[in-house]
Amino acid sequence: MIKYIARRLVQAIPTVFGVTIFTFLIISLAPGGPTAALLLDPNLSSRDRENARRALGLDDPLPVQYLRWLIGDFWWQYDTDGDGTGDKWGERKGVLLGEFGYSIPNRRPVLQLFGERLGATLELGVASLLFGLLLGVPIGIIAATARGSLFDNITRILAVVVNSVPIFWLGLILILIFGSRLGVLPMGSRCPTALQGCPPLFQRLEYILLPMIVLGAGGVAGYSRYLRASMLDVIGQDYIRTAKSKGLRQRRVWFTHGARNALIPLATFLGPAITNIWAGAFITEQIFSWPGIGFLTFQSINAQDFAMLMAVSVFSAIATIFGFLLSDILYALIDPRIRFS
Amino acid sequence: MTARDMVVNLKEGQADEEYLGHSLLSLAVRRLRRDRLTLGALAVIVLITLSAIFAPQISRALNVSFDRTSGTNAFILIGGQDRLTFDPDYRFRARTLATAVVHDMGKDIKSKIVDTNYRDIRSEENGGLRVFHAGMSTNAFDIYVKGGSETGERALARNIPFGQAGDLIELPPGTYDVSLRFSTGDRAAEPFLSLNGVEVKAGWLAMGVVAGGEKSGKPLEMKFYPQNLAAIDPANARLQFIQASADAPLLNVTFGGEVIAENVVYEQEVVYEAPRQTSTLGTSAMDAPRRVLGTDDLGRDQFARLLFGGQVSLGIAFSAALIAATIGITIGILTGFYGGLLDDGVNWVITTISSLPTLLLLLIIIAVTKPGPPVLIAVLGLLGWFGVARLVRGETFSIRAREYVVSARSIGAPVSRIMLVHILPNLLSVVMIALALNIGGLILTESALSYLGFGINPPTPSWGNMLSNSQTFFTKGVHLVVVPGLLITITVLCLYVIGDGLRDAFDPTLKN
Repeated sequence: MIKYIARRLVQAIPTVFGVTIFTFLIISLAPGGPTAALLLDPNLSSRDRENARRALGLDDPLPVQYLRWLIGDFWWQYDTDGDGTGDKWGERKGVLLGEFGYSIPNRRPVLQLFGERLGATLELGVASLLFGLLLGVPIGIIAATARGSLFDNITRILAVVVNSVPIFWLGLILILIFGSRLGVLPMGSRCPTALQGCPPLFQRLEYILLPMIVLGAGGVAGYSRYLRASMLDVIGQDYIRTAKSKGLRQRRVWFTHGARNALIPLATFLGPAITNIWAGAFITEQIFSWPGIGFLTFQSINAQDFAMLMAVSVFSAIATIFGFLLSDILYALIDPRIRFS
Repeated sequence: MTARDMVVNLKEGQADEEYLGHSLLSLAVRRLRRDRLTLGALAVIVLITLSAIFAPQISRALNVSFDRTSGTNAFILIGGQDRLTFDPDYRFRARTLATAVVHDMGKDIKSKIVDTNYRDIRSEENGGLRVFHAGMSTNAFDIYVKGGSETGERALARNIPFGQAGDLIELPPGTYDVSLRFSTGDRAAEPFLSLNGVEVKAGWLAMGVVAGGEKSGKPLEMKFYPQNLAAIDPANARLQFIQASADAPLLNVTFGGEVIAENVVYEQEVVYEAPRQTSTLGTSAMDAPRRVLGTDDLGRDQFARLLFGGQVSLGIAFSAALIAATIGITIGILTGFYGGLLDDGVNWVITTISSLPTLLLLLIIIAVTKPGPPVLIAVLGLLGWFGVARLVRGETFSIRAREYVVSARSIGAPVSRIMLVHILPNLLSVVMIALALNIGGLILTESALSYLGFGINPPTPSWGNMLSNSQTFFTKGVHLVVVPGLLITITVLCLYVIGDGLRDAFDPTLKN
């Protein structure tokens, strides 16, 4: 198994590199380039900007810039005085050494900002994942046991409808009903604004409720459909027939023999689920002013904070790859019929 | 047992179907014609598409005209002996009280228009209070309000500079004492002006104007000019003109070329309801007599905007899906047929790019390139072919091993012929299903991008950007939040139902 994980990790390397090259290229194509954030300062003259560009090494060839971002710039001399030859050795470590650079608009290290916001995103993401599982799994099982019933049909229709609703609009409608009209839930944000710092989650459950529902709705729809199919698949198996013919109670057959086995393929869903929640967080956090990575990404896009966007891309790719790897490992651990290969 | 019986017996429960002598396509069409749900969804999509295509004709027929570029009704032109002109670029908004104040500034006579929309008062039970600083004093002031349900005196608007109006203060109905203090930061400072018994009524705006002062030869004075915002016709606007310049000559006020008041004196108020037909621009959204789904905050007909927005949203989704399908089919066939290094390379590209959330990637690309609609379509298409390519690759891979392909190759048919004649037609079902689902997904993506301000930019409407300012319509104008989203949902839902229906029609064994 360790061999398997090691091979998967090695396979992931070209993907992560591909992502960094791809994003780096897009960002370098920006008119004004990565200095656009510097240009926002009206006190700078064009000469100042030119100097800043040169001192930051932004006029150097793209492959050089990419390498400096990746492995650091200890091997490169910057030309700070404009005489055409380098005179100042770089001091930055690269991304490979865990340094993601400096956010120019925020005047702070990227990783520090990222770390501050990660907690909020994880909180929302885990809550949504649990919401999706805890609601979707029972719905799927019950729908399968009561196949063709009203409950089955309604939940199946709802699952398709939820997939067709724009997620941001779902958020808006929920805010409209519960925040604006009924006034029972806050219209956004993660904690009461009056307080310094955030109290523990259980003291501000009303804040996470709506974003969790919006971000988790797709999961509920997906899991319930998937589990219904998986359950119907399982009950066609021989051992279910055997269990029934032994005279076991209907409930015991369904839930002990059926549901437990139907849950196994759910492990493969974890990878895509992490990706979906990470992707959905970008827009959900924006609607609910949830101060996580998604919210930060929008601020970075508007402020043209390219160092930050590169970091977000790299972490997104890593999260996706690890999500898939994790679900494959989990699947094999749960189901002994699967062999690592 | 004849061969025909065998075929029939293979498909249990569908023994009535004739399989022999029919192509897969004709069988699928026959199954589809019995599928009421899919047919209904197809009818809805056709209807929505047609209404988007014929948006100009429909809106003309219903007489809901639509101004693509702006919600401008008319320029306000107010002049006294042609000496004084209000901002000619001023946009006249529906259901808005436009308060125009003329005031002195030394020898100059200045003018300023302040808008108060009926939606600016968030609760229908409240009224509004606002003060315009037209007094001859360069000091900014704060407004303090006492009375009504207010306990004690509170500063409700601060730092109002000369020639400007303070923010709208929303108050429960009642009688209030209003006093003004210079914004020195000294709370103990005595008010320089106060007025007791200012009445605030629900849905009304108490518009106060401070006039006179130092160099004008008149004492500083505050006077309130109440107006009922709620009573303004939703399609009209109201013009409130207040002459607060002691120095100005008698003024004539004109609007849209028509004289609406003559010889207006100091402290006189002129109120004028801008009629529907008055327009100096000719095309006017407010000319519309019929409102199917109401108007937006700029007085534009929502139904007309949805029609034209459909043109944009559907146009983008359909064209991007076509681009994606073309690329996906081409790459899918090539990789599925040849495999090897090409397959590995393409697979790497797909894994790499799809390990980033599509929305994040789109946002970065759009933030960098700031594209117009054609480039947006290209970007969406170029990022959307992965799914189709994977499906087509798998299908091609299995078709390639079939007997008819093997026999075609064995008699020396060229590769191009095998791909185009033997493989491509057999991909029809996969591609059609993927196309229906893709269009749905693209509509959702475009709407999310436009909602966030990264897709289609206003004033061009799209279903997504019509929801952009939703949060401001929560108290009044819920139809602006509900209708566009509902339309997106229905369209996407129908496309998904069609996708499912097509899958069932092409392969009934998949039906659960």
